[in-house]
Amino acid sequence: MGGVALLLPFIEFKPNRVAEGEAFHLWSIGLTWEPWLLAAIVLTALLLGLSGEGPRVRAGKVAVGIALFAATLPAALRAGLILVTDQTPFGRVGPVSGFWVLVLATFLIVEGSLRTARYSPLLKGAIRALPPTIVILALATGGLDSFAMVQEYVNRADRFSQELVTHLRLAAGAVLAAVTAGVPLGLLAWKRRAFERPVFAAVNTIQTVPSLALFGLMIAPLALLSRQFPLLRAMGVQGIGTAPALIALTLYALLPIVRNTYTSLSVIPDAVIEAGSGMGMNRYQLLRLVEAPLSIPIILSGIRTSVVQAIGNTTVAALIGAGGLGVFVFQGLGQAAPDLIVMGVIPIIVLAVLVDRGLAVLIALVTPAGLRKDPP
Amino acid sequence: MIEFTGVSKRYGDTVAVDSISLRVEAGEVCVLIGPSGCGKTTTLKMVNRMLNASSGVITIDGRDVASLPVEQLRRSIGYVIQSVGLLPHLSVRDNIAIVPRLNGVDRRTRYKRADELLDLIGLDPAQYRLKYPHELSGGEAQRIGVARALAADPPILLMDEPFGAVDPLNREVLQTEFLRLQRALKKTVMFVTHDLDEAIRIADTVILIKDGRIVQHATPEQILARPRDQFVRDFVGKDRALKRLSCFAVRDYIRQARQISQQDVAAYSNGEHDEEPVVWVNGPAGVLVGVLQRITAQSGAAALSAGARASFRMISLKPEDVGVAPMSSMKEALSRLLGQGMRAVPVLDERNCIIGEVRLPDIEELNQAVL
Ligand SMILES: Nc1ncnc2c1ncn2[C@@H]1O[C@H](COP(=O)(O)OP(=O)(O)OP(=O)(O)O)[C@@H](O)[C@H]1O
Ligand SMILES: [Mg+2]
Repeated sequence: MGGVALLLPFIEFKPNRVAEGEAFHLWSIGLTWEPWLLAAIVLTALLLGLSGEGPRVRAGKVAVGIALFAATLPAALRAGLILVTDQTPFGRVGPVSGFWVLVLATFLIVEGSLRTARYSPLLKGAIRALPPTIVILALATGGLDSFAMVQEYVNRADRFSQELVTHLRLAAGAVLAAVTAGVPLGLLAWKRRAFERPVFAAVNTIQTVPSLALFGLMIAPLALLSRQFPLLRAMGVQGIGTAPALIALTLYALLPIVRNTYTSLSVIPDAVIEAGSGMGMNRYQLLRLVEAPLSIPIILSGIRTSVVQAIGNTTVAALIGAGGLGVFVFQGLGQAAPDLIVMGVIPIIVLAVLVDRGLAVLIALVTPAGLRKDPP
Repeated sequence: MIEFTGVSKRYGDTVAVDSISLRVEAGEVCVLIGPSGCGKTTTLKMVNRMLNASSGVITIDGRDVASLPVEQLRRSIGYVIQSVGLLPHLSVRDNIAIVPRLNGVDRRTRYKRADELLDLIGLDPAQYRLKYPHELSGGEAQRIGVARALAADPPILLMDEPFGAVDPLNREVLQTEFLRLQRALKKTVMFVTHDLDEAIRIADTVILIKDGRIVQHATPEQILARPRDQFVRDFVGKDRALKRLSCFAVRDYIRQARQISQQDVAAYSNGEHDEEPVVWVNGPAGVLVGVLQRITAQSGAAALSAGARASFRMISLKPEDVGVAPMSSMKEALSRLLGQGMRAVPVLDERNCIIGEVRLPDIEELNQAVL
């Protein structure tokens, strides 16, 4: 795949924001040694891929994957510097297929090797954090300034950080509310058989409503409430804006949390509970020594699903005036400016991946050793 | 001492336990046995109040269990459940030390205690203390379950089919282990099983339950010898006379054995001998090597009645094939007797030297008590 990538168009140049782009191959931009370095790394990766299994080969693959990424980015940077000259002050470049395939190759090599590796969760986390770190470094040093997305960003830096914060607050608030409501609901469904069906029927139904529709559904009732109760209106509750967005996002985030809370309790064997209370644990000790350690990892993985989902869904919240990174996406859609869309989408993906990875590490850390399938 | 007085347990209309009265003396192993669903588990669980009796009183050393704080009551009673129920997220030593932990014993002391208990149940602490339940075999898990019940050194043990989930061979190993422990620890034990052989092996007294009522409460030997009614008779089976022999130990029925040493076989053969005792032959160092067999010139009976002088020859025996140990059961002695077609079996010490013998007539006499 790396080989193919070297032959595909690597980068695109546009004289200005809305003009048609012109694609360049890696070899035709005027780069000196970068294509050769990339080719060498791809060749090494191929050789490693053919040399079988083993911890050393695996470590080699991880290193090559990271190196590939570390070399691809500067190549794109230099290409940007070469293409955007003084004659084209509004010129901008954007990576195209060749670049993305190389990034994808990096991802596949590193992930594929890490999956079966017996590294500690922390080490795995650190390795996975390397590529994003490289990107951040590149951004911080201004190397990516000629990139279209980055230019879109520079034009809206203030707005961007403002919407980023809004996005995070909406998602975090929704998940927090969903945890506060979802864990007790899961407990209730488990403890009282009578509640099991209605609770699951409700959260499952919510999940089947398309997200756009759910946001829309919030508008009418909240507008009504707001009109009826001045107190609510004073608190900022309206048909559109933050309140309906939060409610809709919370409802969405509910299912994985309720489901996993319920499951986490139902998979504890009766014998374990009987043994615990038979040995003289009181209610609190049973919770602390038996139920919590066994169920918390499962509940956390429910929360993990919810958070990732919420970060994505929050994008739609922009449609009902709640703000967030979705603002750029929909602006970009309206202005037919793909780079603006990408500028909104990329941070959303990065956020989701970061939170996902972070929680994965946390879950691995709180999972008791006796429950891990492959103890370190 | 545990005492039940008119204890019942009802679930709505069904009566699981029906007005049971019983007494388990301190240091006694009392086995509850009966068909599935007869109320054994229910009876057991009322002692540590995993279930509360619908009526009647249960006392431990004279104190009503209903009047004791329930957590404290349970911590003073070792409890082994059928499905073991080790906590999957805790290591073996944390599992064993759980009750001391609840009692606020510090970590160092309770880990020391866990190691002691691993030693006691015959598992190497260095090898097992850090394992997790999913890394144990069924038999090992059962043992850890017993160790856990013993951790706080409770005077009472409740065991609900503790060896139910292991194969017959390992079950016997666990039973032997249990008897050894019990001889040293002298706990008051209530033990549920539906394996009659297990009950006979480990019980001081057996309580046979049917439909929530006690049918017979007696020693295993008495139950086998004198079944109270047809139900008990059916339950213990047609071979109860044979089973009953396992209640008796060889050491109580040893008779003096006639033995000569190998050099003297020829001399003996030429002597006068009217009766026909079994004569064992010892080799060097007094180890059993054979038994004398009478040979006659003409065919058997005629020659004997003619008063012909008997002559003997030695038949070689392998001690480990024919002998029994003093600790063996009379059932084993009988089985050896039948296997060898002889009228006595040698009782041997660890070096295979003869201590004495067990004779067929003594076994027959034992069986006369069976009605
Ligand atoms: N929670 C309950 N509700 C209603 N009936 C019950 C309940 N628990 C037990 N029973 C009934 O009480 C009776 C005795 O049950 P118990 O568990 O004591 O039997 P057991 O002798 O231990 O049987 P097994 O050998 O199969 O373990 C059974 O008939 C059972 O159906
Ligand atoms: Mg039972």
